Amino acid sequence: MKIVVDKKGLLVYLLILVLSVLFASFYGGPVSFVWLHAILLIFPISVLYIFLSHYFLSLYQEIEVHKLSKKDRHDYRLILENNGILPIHGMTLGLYSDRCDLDEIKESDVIALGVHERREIASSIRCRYAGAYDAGVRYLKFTDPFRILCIWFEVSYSFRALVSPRITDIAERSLDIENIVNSTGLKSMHLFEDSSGSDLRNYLPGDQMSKINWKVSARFSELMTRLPDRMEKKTVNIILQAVNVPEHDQDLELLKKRDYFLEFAVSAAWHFGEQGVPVSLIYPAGEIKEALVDSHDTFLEFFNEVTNGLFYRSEEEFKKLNEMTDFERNGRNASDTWILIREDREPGEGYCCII
Amino acid sequence: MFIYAALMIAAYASGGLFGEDFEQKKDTFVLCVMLFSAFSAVLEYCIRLIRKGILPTFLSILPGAIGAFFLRRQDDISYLAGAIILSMCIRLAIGIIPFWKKIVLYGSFVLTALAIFLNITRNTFTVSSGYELFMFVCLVSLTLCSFQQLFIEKGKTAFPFSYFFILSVLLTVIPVNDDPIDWTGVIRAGQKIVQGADYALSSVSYFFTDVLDIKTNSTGYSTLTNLGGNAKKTKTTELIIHAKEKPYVLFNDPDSGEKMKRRRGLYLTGGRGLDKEVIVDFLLMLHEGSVSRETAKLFSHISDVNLEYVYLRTRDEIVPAYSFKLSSNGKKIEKGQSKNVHKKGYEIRSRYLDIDFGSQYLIALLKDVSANGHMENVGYEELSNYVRDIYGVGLNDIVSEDEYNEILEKSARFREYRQNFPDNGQKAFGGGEYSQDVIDSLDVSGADEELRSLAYELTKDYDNDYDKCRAIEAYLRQYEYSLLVPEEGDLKVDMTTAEGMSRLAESFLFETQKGYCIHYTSAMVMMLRLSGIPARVALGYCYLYPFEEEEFYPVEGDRAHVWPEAYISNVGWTGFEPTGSYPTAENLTWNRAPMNAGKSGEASYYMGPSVKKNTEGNPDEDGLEPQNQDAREKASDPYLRVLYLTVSLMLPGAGLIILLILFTVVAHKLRYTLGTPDEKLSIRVEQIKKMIRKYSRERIPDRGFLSEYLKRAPVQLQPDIEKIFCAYYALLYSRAGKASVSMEDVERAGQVMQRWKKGDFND
Repeated sequence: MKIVVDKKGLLVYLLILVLSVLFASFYGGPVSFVWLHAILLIFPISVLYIFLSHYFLSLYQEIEVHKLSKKDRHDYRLILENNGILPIHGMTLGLYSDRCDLDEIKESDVIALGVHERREIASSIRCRYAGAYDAGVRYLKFTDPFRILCIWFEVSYSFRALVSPRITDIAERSLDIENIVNSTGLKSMHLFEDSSGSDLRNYLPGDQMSKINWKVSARFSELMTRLPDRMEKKTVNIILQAVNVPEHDQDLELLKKRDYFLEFAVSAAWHFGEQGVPVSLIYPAGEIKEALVDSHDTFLEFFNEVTNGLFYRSEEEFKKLNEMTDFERNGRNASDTWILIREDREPGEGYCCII
Repeated sequence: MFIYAALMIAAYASGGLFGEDFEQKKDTFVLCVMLFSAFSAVLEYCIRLIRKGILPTFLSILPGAIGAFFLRRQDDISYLAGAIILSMCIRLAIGIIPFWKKIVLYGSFVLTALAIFLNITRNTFTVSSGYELFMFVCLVSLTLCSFQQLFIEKGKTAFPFSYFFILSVLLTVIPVNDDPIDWTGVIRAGQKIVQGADYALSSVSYFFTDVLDIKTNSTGYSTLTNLGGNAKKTKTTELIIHAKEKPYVLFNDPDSGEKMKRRRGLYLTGGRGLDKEVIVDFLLMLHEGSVSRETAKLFSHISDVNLEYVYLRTRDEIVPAYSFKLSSNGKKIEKGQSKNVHKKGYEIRSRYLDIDFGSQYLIALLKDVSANGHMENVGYEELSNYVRDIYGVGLNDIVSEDEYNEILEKSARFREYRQNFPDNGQKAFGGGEYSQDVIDSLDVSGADEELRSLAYELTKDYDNDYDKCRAIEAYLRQYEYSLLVPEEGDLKVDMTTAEGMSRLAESFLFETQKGYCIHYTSAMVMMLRLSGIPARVALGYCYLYPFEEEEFYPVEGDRAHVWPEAYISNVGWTGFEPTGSYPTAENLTWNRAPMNAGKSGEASYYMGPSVKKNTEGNPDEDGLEPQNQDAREKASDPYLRVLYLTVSLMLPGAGLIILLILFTVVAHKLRYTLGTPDEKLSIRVEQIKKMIRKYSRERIPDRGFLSEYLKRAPVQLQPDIEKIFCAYYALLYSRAGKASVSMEDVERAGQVMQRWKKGDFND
């Protein structure tokens, strides 16, 4: 709860109060005292009225879909209901305007509700960043009749938006490295790459020129083609090192970092997926999880997990991920390819690095 | 609220314009107007449920018109007819004038200004009448509401009136005073805070003065004998008096006969302790004058007081004059000085003889004994019995027999001197075989001829010591009192010596002609001595009690004082007050006088207020005289009649409402029954829309789209309602004569209504 006092209004009020006290000091009776009592009671009654109005006000926020897409418009509904016997007047809304845009609802809109009145306000909402965070209405602001006092109440239950990151090419520039794939990488159970085998057959039209075994062809005086052997594809390992900040402490800067981080992570997974390289992603979703993305379905699974939010269940999980990072950084398992994507990079470092 | 406030202000502002009768009953008149107005408003509201337009306004005043007709001939409650007519006019005005709300908005300010003006110029409004309080509650609430709407909202939607209603309710229950705010308590609290700060500063000053041994020229007990030049007043508390007696005396003013209050004074002497000699001399004087107990009580009584040292550092015991019992922490005090310096917190308990030296009885006694007394030695036993008889205390509580005998010897020395020099006049005292105390009290060293001449001139016409003293005292009181003396008077002399006092006296009397207590006292002591009257200086405090009784009485430094004492023959040492700004004994007199003996036979010595007995008339048992009897019986009549008339007015009103309701219901039914199917469907659609509005509890913007209503209808009834609406649309938008509503649609609409009323759609 926050109380904001208008200084100019307060000065005028104090001046009127002093004049009333002076008047009552010279003249008794109802003329002066009723006026003085009224001036003195303005503040207490205003505070009481505001608290009662807030107590009896119910607020519901609804969005048409469970998961939103970043920067896409979605239908949003705000329902306000006055359950008390006092009308509500001059109420304004405080929005999470730093992270979402509501088209039909503005912070300057003044709302009045009669006794037992219910009002529904429809709008569209557009979330600017990917991640899981509160959106919509943040505060309810009430003022007294004379606009001296403004009390801000935080909405008891904010609307939690799950915003899916976009898949873009931001990862490509950083991950354009072919030689990260080496022969000792993890193997996929689903993706296979062809490698030249030892079996031969006669050349058939359509065979690739690179598959022709020229030595044997010369021996037999006819073209002979190698038959490919199926070999499991090599994978890449990516550690998503998210920050360990509780959600209620996450400010706009952190939201922006998380947005970029998520976008990078899913874009990286998509990038390798397009290249046919399986990707193993280690990320915190409560506990430390490992997901192998080597198909469209596995990518979607990973994408949904990431959209639900990255967080550490406890301090131990955070330490575990850091230890894992350090272990790989020290090159204990030098044959594998490990990429670290940091949410909170150090100065001078990039968002991702190969460890 | 506005009408009530306006009527009340108009009634109070009329100032008797409508006669005395109206002036007495104006509150009742206004109340009646409001009641009838409210009744008409309720009536109009009820009628407006059935009928719209201007007709309900006119119908609502109909019962009032009937009532006014009945009341027109009732002289004793004629104001009721006026009240009804006025309420009718108000009702019509509200109904007809379209800008009534604006009148209320701006009129509130006008009424408030008028009310304030009336209160300031005529002091019209009091809280004795609840009507006035309620009027101002209404006025203030309306004014605040109007202010809010005009200046805060700037003509937009006003803040809900429920806020101002809550304010009104609270304002009605909070009590209001007729007198302006009494800031005495706050001022006292402020004074206490200031005193507290002062005490804190004084403590620091007290500490550093002791540590650093700083001497100042501020007024105070410690600096009395070091002053002579310019002095500064100090408000540091040096002593605290704890006294149980009231700080004032009550007496009847002889001129006006009114009961008056006079503050008591108290002289505290320092450095003398138990001045037994003075007390014994006083008792002997009373004995010499054969003063009875009753007479003694006119100018003396025994008092107790506790003294606490605060910011004072001295070895002197500072006690009330004529103290005969002193103790501190249970230990007796005899001498005037102790071995150790007394500091903050030191306490003395004193029992003393409080004497009114301004009492005419005492003055007469003093003069008589001084002139004619013989002062033969009185035996200890005899005096002891006398004292016990007068004051109820034994002489052994004051002096022992040996001490008494010593005092007698000393007094004899003074008497001997006076006998040898009965009219000393210009004779200079040569000293010689007299004792040191006599010599000291007559030391005129340093006095010049001018001073001697002045003393002679002032006293030559008087033959007794007391009158001589009073003459010198009166002369000196003409001089200007000032703590700032001119340069030639800025002296630093030791007033414990005769030379010092002479120097001060001469500078004061002949050069500066202004000074403070030291100058006055020095002048009087020297002039008394030059007149042959033994005189000495007493130093201490002269404290004047406040009018209000308090827990304790602080004595500040500026109350430190010196005054002269003269030895009057056959009387003893008596104090005088020559300092101009201090009250004389007459100014502090208790004004006690003997009264006729009361029932017990003892004289009362205080004049209480005369009480007028109410001897006019002989009231009967219930306090009413016979001629009021008829008035009492008649008084019950108007109330019954008002009740009768009220009922008579309400019955036609209620009847009218019932008739209208019946008429409307019948008219509706007839309209439906006799109407065409199109009309029936229209009626049903309107009814369905009304029920949907009630069901959804939302404000449905009626832009002519029935779909807004359809989606808010109960789900179970929506299919049927949709069909009804479609039929209605067809009715509205079809070409004339083409589509017509079928009875099936009408019946469907009727069934939907019935189902809804029964709640049939709920699962």
